Amino acid sequence: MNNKQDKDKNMSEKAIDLELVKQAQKGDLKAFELLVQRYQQKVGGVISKLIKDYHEIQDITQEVFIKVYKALPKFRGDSAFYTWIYRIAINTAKNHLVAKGRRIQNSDIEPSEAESYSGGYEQQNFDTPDAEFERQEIEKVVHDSINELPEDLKKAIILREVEGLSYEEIAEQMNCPIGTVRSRIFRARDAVDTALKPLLKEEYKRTNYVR
Amino acid sequence: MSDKSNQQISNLMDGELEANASQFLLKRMAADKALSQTWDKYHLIKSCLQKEADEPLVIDIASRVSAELGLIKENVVIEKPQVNRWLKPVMGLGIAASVAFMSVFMLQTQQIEGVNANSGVVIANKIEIAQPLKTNIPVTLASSSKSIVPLSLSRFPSVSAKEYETFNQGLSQNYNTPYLILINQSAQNKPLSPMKIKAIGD
Repeated sequence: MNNKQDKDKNMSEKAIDLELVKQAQKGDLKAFELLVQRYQQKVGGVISKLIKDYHEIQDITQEVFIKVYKALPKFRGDSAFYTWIYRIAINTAKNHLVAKGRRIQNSDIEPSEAESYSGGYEQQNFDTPDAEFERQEIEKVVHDSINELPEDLKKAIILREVEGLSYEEIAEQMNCPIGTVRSRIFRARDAVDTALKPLLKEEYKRTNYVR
Repeated sequence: MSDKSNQQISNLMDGELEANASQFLLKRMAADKALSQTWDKYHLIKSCLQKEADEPLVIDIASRVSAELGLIKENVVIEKPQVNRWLKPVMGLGIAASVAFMSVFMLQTQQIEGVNANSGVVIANKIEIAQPLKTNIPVTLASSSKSIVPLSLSRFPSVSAKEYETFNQGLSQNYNTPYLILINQSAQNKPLSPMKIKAIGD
C-alpha cells in the first residue's frame, strides 16, 4: 500500500474534531474534555494577546470552553472547529475587557492575525514568581529533553511540530518509510512525556495555570 | 496503558491513524483517564514547541471545564421537576374533570332508575353500555313493561314525548337484536322502527 492510499484511509485532524464534536453534541462530556485538551493551549495563547494577567487568562479560557459547549448544538461543521472557537475566544476576551472598563487597543483582530498579534491591551503582569518559575521549568524540560534525543528522533519531531510537515513529507526528507516516521515521532514524544511526568504530576494536582 | 496505545494517540493527533482505529481510540480515550492524560501531555509538548515566547501555558483547564459543566448538567436535572410542576395542576384538573363527568353520568343513571322504581313499572336492574344481551327479551315481559322517564332525565332529550311513547311501544315486540337505536324518522312521515333495543335486565 503506498503512502497516498494510507493517507486516504486515515482520519484527518478536522475529522477527529468533528467526531469529538458529534459525541459532545450527544452530551458526552469526556469527548468534549478531549477537545478542550486539544485546544486549551491555543485558546490560552489567543487570549493572552489581549489579556496579560495569567489568572484572568485561565478564567477566560475556561469561560470560552463553557460557552463553546453551550453553543455546540449550533455548530454544523461548515467551518473548522478551531476557527469557530477562535472567534468565541476573541469575543469573550473583548467582552471581558469591556466589562472591566479597560481599553482595547485593537478591536478588529481577525482570526488570521490574532495569533501573531502582540500589541494588545497593555496591562501589568501579575504573574507570581512561583508561576513564572513553573512555566519556565516546563518549557525547559521540554526543550532539554528534545535536545537530548537521538538525532533521528529530534529531527522527526522538529520537522513535525516546528516546521509543520506531514508524515509523508518527513519521510521524504529523512529518506525513510512513513512507518519509521510514525515510530520516531512517537518515541520522541514519549521521551519528553517521561521527563515531564514528575513536574506535571504536581501541576495536575494544583490545576494551575503556569506562566 | 501500553506503548501501542500511546503510539496510536501520537498518530491520531497528527491525523495519521486509520479511520476505524481512530474512532475506536477516541472512544477509549473518553473512557480511560490515563489515555486522555497522554493525549493532553502530547498536546502540551506540541504547544511548548510551537508557541511564542510570551504565550502562557494553560494547565488542566479541561478538568475545570468538565467540573463546571458537570454542575450545569446537575442543575438541569434539578430543573426538570420544575417543568413537571406546571404539568401537575393540568393533570389534576384533567382527573378532576373526568371524575366529575363520571359522577354526573352515574347520578343521572341512578335518577333514571329511581324514577322508574317509583313508578313501579319498569326496573332496569342493570344498565350495560355496549354489552350484548345474552338472551332475547321474551315478548311477554317486553309487552308488560312500560318505561316512563321524564324527558329532563332522558338520554334522548331531543326526542319528543310522543316519539318516546312510540319507542316504548316498540319494546313490546320481540327482537333478536340486543340493542335499540332510535332513529328520528318522523320528519319523513315514516313510522318509527326501533332496530335495536337497549339492554334491560330480567
